[in-house]
Amino acid sequence: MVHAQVISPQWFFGVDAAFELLTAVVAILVAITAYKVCKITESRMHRTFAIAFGLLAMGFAARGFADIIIEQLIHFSPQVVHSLPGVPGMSRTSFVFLAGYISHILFVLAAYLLLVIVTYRIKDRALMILLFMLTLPSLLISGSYFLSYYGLSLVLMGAVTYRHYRNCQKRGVSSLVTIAFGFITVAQPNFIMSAMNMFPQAAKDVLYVSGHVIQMIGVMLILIALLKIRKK
Amino acid sequence: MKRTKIDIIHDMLKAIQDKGGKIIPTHLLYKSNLSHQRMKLYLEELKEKGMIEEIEHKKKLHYEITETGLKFLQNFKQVKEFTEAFGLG
Repeated sequence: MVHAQVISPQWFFGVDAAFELLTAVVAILVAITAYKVCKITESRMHRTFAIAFGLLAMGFAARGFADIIIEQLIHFSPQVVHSLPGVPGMSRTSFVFLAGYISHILFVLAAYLLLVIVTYRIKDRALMILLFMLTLPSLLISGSYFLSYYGLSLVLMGAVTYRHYRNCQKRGVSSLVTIAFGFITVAQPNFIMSAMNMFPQAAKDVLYVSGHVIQMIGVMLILIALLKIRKK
Repeated sequence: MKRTKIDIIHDMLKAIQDKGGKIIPTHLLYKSNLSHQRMKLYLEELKEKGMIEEIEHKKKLHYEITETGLKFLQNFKQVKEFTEAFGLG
């Protein structure tokens, strides 16, 4: 029997889904703006950037909707086993969990990889394929999807943030997006620790919620940066 | 401060626009403040992106700004801000 791994504390039910859906909205706004800029500049970098944020939007939307459905099923009728017709050993909750979370992990990691490719201006296709080949199998052979996902996110977003920071230093341009990416990076260790079994449940809950809050601050900073640009 | 790629593209297109929409290569070289080699590379890129076209005017080679090029100039500020803020420059 496949079980849904709900790592969110009960009192945070709904809030995490709202954060994820809000992240999806911000990501889609960035993707649309990047696409518009791409139409003007005809630049491949802007197009890749638009695709990256489009994938982020899809990933966070998938997880947000999965969380809403799972929380509805668990919270309002916990005694009922919502079995999935035709799939023995798989409950409806587990199916939604698998579909939503695996889509989330794959879309978001692909988006982070594209951000690395854009930020480091990687043009060699072989190197791009190598990056994907290194990332995805390490996720599949891992004993915990969550740990691998957050670990890979930490490394990839850490690399993106570092490069942005160096660019800011070199060019003396606005660092709001760098700070935003920094917040998203810093949120990952919280998620990693919340998925580990070495902490008591109360500590894991605090780590999970603080991870979401820190990540949300990063997303809000991206929104502010975007609004400032669109105002001009 | 060093000009970014997007600044150079803007300067080249602006030079063409200021000359009434078309310019001869020598004037463009002077106005865009680039070496001959670098200007050739940028011209190739601008042609590829459909921002300029090569035309013959009074038996002389000219570069003419296209609709796409004019659209770029109109939206330059927003494009530049977005490109710099998200590290795409």
